[in-house]
Amino acid sequence: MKKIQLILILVLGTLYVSGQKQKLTLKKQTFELHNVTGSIIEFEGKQVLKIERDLKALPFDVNNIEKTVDEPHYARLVGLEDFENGIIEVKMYSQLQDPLPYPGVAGFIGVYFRIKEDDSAFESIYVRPKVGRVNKQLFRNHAVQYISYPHAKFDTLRKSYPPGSYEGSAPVALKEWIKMRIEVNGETAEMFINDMKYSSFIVDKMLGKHKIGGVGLYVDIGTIGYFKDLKVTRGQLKKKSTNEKVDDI
Amino acid sequence: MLKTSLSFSIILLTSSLCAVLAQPIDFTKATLAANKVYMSVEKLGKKMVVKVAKDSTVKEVDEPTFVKLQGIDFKDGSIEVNVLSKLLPNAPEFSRGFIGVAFHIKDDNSKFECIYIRPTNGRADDQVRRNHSIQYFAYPDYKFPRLRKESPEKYESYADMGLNEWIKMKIVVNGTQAKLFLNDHKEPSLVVNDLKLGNQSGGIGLFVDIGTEGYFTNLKITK
Repeated sequence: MKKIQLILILVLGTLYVSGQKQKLTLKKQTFELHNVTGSIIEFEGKQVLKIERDLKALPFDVNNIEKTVDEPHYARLVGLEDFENGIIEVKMYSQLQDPLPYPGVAGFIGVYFRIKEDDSAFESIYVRPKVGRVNKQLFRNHAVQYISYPHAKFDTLRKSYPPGSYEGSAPVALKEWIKMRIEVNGETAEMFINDMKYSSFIVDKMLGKHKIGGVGLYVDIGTIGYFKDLKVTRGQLKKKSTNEKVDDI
Repeated sequence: MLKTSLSFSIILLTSSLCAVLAQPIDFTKATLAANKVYMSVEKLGKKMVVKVAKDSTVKEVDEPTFVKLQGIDFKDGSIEVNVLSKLLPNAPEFSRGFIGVAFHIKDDNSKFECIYIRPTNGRADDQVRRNHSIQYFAYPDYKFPRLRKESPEKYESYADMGLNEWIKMKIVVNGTQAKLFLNDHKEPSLVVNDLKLGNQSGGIGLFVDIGTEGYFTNLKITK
């Protein structure tokens, strides 16, 4: 019997080494690590998921930034593959690695959703806590980012749309817990920070073609990300009542 | 003669300091000068307020359309005021509830700086509009279209706000830097590090633009 167990362990171990993704369980949720390293640790007295981007699995190129960021480096919630509309909430805490792997890091941390099974498409809202309270207004206005993988990463969006179309400011900072709640409804996604009454950020027209899929927790280069209390609530598409005319002022 | 005028100015200085430091400016006693706006001092609930609307014959935006407080010369310090914006019945569609504070106003109103807000943008279903909730501009050379074109996202920002609600604006000016704090938040909602006029003193004005019926109360100026 012991022998069989041993063989089983060996077989499973080999599977893991040969490309099976590592899984971590936090309370009742299991996460599969995609191009991130991670562990479950005790942090400020609570069990949390800690992840960092795995730069060996997915290298970063300083001369090719856009191509090598906003990629599938995240912890995927196992067993939920049909998120289309609804609410995702999670508490996150961002800390910078020391030494920094690259000076342009900003504590990138956030959520992926509607992730295609093979990671070939997803939507995301993430924050850059390092610039949330910096003294330069232009940087502050880049504290929140929406992207749609693979065709609408941050720099493409900056270049292809009027400034501020998919970015904004929000009360976020490094080394403090940030509660992020994303309400996804059809083409729109609204993000609330720390249970404020009104959303801090709205994406009025998401750009992804893939409308349904998984949910994941994201970090990018230079971030040590801690997550807890993830809650995903699937909902029905709600019709919007207001139709205010939009112009440029 | 020199002595007399000196002591006179000290008295003036002391009394004006007391007036500006201790209490909110009393709108019933202050000398207010309407410039290209309609103005009235009214009671709204228990508050004495200044009600301001832009002279509708002024078609351009970011103009010297404000109520100026006479006898105030402000360079560095803070200006606090509670503002509430409604839309006039005949407000054009692009009205945003524009309301704010002008400062460093030259005597002849030919130059000034201003930070104003667009309350209708704060909760709009459009992130670009949200990012235009707060605006800095300097008259006459740096109105919002120019700043937006030449330095996008640098002189504008987002903060949660809405029409028909009191919003506390606090502008802290220090040299060429100005910060706007809303509703007593610890963190500023707008930071401007290169005021276009900067480092000069001038008057203070209660600013509105097209379509706004603006209310101002609890003005405090600290130098």
